Amino acid sequence: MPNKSDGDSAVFRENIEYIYGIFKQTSIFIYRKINQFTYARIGPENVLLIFLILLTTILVGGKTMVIVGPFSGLSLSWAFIISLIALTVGHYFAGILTRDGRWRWSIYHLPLCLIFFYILLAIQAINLDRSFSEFRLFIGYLTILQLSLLGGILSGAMGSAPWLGHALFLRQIKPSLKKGNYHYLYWDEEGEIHLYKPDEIEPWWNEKTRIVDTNINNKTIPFNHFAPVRVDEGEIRKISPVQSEVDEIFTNIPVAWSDAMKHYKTAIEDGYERISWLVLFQLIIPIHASSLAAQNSKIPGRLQRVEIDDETFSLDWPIVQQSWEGVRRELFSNDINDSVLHIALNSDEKPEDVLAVELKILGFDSKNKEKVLIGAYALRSYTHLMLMLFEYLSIDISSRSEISKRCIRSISSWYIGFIRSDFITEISRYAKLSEGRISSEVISLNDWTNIFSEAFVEPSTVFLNLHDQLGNFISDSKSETDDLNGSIMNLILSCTEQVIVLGSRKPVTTSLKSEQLQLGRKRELGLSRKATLLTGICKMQIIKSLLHHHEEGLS
Amino acid sequence: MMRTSFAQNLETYLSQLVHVSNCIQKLNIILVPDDDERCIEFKNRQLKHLLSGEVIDVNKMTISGDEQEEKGGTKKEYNQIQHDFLTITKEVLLWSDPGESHLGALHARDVGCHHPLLSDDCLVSALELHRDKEWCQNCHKHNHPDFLIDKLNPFNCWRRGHQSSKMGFIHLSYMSSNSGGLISLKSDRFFAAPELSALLNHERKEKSLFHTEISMDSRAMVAIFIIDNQPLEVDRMQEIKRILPQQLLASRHTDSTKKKHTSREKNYQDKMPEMVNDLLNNVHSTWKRRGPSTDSRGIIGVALVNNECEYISNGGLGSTIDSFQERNNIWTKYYNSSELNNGFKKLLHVSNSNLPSNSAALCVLLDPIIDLGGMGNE
Repeated sequence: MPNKSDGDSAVFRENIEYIYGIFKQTSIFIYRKINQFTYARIGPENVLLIFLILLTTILVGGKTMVIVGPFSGLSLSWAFIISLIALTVGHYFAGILTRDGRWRWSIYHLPLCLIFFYILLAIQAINLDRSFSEFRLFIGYLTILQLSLLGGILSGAMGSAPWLGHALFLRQIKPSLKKGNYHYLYWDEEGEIHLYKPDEIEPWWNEKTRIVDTNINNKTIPFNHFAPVRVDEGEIRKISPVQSEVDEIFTNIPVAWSDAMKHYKTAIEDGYERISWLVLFQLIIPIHASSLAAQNSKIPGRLQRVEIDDETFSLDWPIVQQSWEGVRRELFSNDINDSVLHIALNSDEKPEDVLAVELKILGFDSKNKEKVLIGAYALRSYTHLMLMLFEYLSIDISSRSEISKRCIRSISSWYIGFIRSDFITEISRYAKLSEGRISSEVISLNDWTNIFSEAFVEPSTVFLNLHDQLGNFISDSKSETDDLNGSIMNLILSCTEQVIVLGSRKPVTTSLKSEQLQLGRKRELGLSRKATLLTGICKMQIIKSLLHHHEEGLS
Repeated sequence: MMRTSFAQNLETYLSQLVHVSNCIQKLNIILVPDDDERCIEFKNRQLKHLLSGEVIDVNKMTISGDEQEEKGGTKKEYNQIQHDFLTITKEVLLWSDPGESHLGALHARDVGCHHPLLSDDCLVSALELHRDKEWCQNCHKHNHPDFLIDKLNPFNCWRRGHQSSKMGFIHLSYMSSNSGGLISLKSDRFFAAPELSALLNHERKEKSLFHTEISMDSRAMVAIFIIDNQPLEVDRMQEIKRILPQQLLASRHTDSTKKKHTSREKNYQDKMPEMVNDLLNNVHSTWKRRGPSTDSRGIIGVALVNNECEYISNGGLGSTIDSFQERNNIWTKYYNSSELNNGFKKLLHVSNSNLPSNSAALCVLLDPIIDLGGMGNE
């Protein structure tokens, strides 16, 4: 039978654990708050806070609690000159003083020392009467200098829109986002997607980089990697952007405030734009690029399935409308020849390295490095091709748009089979056997544009050139590449046959013999033939790029 | 263990042959049959025309007599139109550019035709060789191979010559007696140019085809059947007989086994002509029907290379081959292996290792004819 003392000790232990829990939570909270209060984020509120604490401690410790304080015996004229200079410096150099680490001691460390000094003075732990008068005067002038400097910084900082914008964003936008039950969708640099509540994200103006940043898990992340979204918790857990709603929130606030928050607004717009491109590069093109050919503003786009923290959501994101090149120049600063996915992710990885997200898309075994590399290069070339064709869709020249649509359909269906076939394995085996003489290449967006500008004019010639180059590869190869040769030969033949088959005339019934219909069919045949030729060119070009020979080249 | 009959083996073999023919037809679209510059140029232009859709169908340029009557014309008018059309096409040959891609505008001489009836003033187009003229159909009767002077493919034209060595092949197979005394036919090796080899390899797994090897000199289409007159059991018995005395042992069964084997060998030799007859007839009809060209004549020659095989020397297969030759009016010849040059044997991929003594190679020359129009002719 349990005795009473055992029961008491259990209750006592529970109470201790409860108190320990509260302490733990509180300490974590304080730790987070301190962490958030980084040097880089010394905004107007923080400077004002330091200014007010310093002023209070001066008033209490420096004037009321002592008979002879630091301000006794100060020269008025010197005090005025020092104050004027400090105010001017603080006002005009507020930005440098707060963002440059070398000067932050003047607004952070020195005031803290002075506050500490005046607290000691207030509790009469030290007595200035016994001190040297020079030291007393020095403290007095230093205090005047410090107060004036902080005052100057405050006056200067108040004029700085980004700083003001931060405060306004927290007070105006964040509550609206919370009220609308919106979330932030964060698409990180590795291609992973996360959802955050508005409370968890606190954007701030980074004077050093001149962009709006935010902190997640002690990591500073550009705010333009986020976009506000609505998460519908219905049968289909749908995530959709709330760009128009956020625009409306910005529209409903006074113009002066809106102007102060322009960097925050731009960051949100850029985030929306960036995610739109990532949806295209990471979700649409590698999986079902054929849907690009069916884009229609009147028909809702297809939902994209995404995994967020082991949960499945459907992403309903409108397709991009702008030109990639314009957005690339405006939003990203990478090399034009880098992979577009690499650029849109803002990845820190080397452009030639395979990204984790690419490996995930390919689904290859990461141990087979050659296969992964060749698969990733094929994926990149294909993504660039699809992007270029997608952009051609909006071109006014109807034939080019129509041809691009057909190319998107046929190449996307071929690519799905190609990337899963043994073709990639055969190329990787060949690359391994070649001991470095073979290295695959990525066809950049620029390269595709050049290829197509020629192929649109002379499709047969470009087709035959590629056909000959791949044919020569087979003729010159050795027996160890039998399987690869077979796949290449099959590709060449299937591409050629598809074009030639279009030329064979089908029986025409008398009712279809009207001149108008015949003309229509001729045009149709011309478009189909050109589209089939271009499709063949694209397929062969991708294979050729994967078999690039260092010394001679397949060119 | 399931025993496969010769008929089943033959069926598999014929399906492989059809597949080879299909692959050659496909390659004929993109590969040049002759390495002559004019042929390369012709093929390039032809392929370019095919890709750009500029195919001219000569048949569409004329109308039939019935159509003429439907339109209210008379037979006389129809004949006049036909005559005019033929005159025009003949005229075209006189001023045509040798680099022209249309067969109707190419002289037969331009495609390397060496038919005995071709003379300087004879206006025959390459297109006619593919249609009405029967020159290509009977050309093999005028041009024969000769293994003694290393002539495997006697043709020089673009249709049969295969100077580019791109579409020819040598298919080695074995005809031998298995442990049950049944004759089996088994594909062994297939030698072809890298292009044909690649295409066949691509479908090897799904169609359970033979493994191919690359050969850079494939000007003819030859199916070689090694007729092995030494059943496996005989070899094993010889081995046992060799080992027994070494171990101071003797067996009275060896003689009875020998008798048994002698009877099995006899049985094998009795069945062989029938099997070879079946083989030749089936291969001939298959290649004639499903060969790379509609003009394919099937088997155009049979040579038997004997390597000290008593059964063959005694005329074991002679009557079968002779009767096949008479039926189909083709070239046949018997050679001893020792008569042939080593270089030529190498070309045939035949050596002492795969053609040991007491065996023979039945070399079946398949008609290598192709259509110069590729898919454009269809």
